[in-house]
Amino acid sequence: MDAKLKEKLLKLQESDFVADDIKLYLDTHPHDTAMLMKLCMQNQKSMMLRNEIEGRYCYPLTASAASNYGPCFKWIDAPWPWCPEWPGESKCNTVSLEDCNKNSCQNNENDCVCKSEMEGCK
Amino acid sequence: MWYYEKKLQRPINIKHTNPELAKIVISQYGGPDGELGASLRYLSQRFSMPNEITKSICNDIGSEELGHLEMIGTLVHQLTKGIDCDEVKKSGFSTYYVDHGTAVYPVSASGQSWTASYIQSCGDAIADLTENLAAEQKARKTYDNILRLSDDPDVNDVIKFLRAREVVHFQRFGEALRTVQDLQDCKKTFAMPSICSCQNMGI
Repeated sequence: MDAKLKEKLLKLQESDFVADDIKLYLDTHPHDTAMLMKLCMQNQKSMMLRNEIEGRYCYPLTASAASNYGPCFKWIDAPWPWCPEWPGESKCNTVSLEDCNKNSCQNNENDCVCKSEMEGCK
Repeated sequence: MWYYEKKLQRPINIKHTNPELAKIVISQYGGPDGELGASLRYLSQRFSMPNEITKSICNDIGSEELGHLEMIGTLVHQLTKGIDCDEVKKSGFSTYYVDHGTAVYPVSASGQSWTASYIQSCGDAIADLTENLAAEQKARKTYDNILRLSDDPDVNDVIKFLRAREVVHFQRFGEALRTVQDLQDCKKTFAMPSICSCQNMGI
């Protein structure tokens, strides 16, 4: 297991937790602009970590992210979080970061299928 | 609508199986003050909450409780993974094992299956939110009892985390309750929903 991926996942859990806690505070203090700013920054931090985990390390946190990774549906490969072996191996070690970015769907919404990869599925 | 992410709110990695402890911890899965009841209580109550703050707090705490349900299920799963017949017999886990094996089932430590009778959702925001305050304290109490009975540091770290969340939720439900009390007649010196307050209550 890639130690850096594990570290990033832990950081994401921390960051999401902070954001969740601030969110509950803001539910009952919706006019606290300083805290709103903090939530915004925290969400950005989580988003960067998520992009790194799902992009650079090709680790699918969500089923929708797993559609970006090529011929196989990697969602079912990553261990479930209740398993002691979570998060397990990153299953796309053979794919470079460049390939990963190339394969991810960044075009318009109607074209959100990796054509080259879908062809690989046939 | 919910989306699933393959991660827990907090990582859990239990190093030693302990079916006796699993039989205790399961109470926070399907017991009277457990996380299943908590999540369904708040997520059901939110439909009849009278203002935006109370709707949001029931929705968001209810969602977090679903994550806690998953964490308790993880504890039970890891505490019983791969145990053998001798361990089942010696630990007293056999009464659970005979019906559910090492699967996770919503039941209390004393063997009662989860029932919706544990919760209330009655459309009276003061009654519902006051129940939630009690529910958070009762959950905190159960976590205190688990800490008294458990000597596994990996389990205790998770239980302490969940206990702290109950305290935060209690605080937020209290703040939400005050916004409903503010809707009541300000001349009252105590919170008493008026029968005629339907308009104020947004019902």
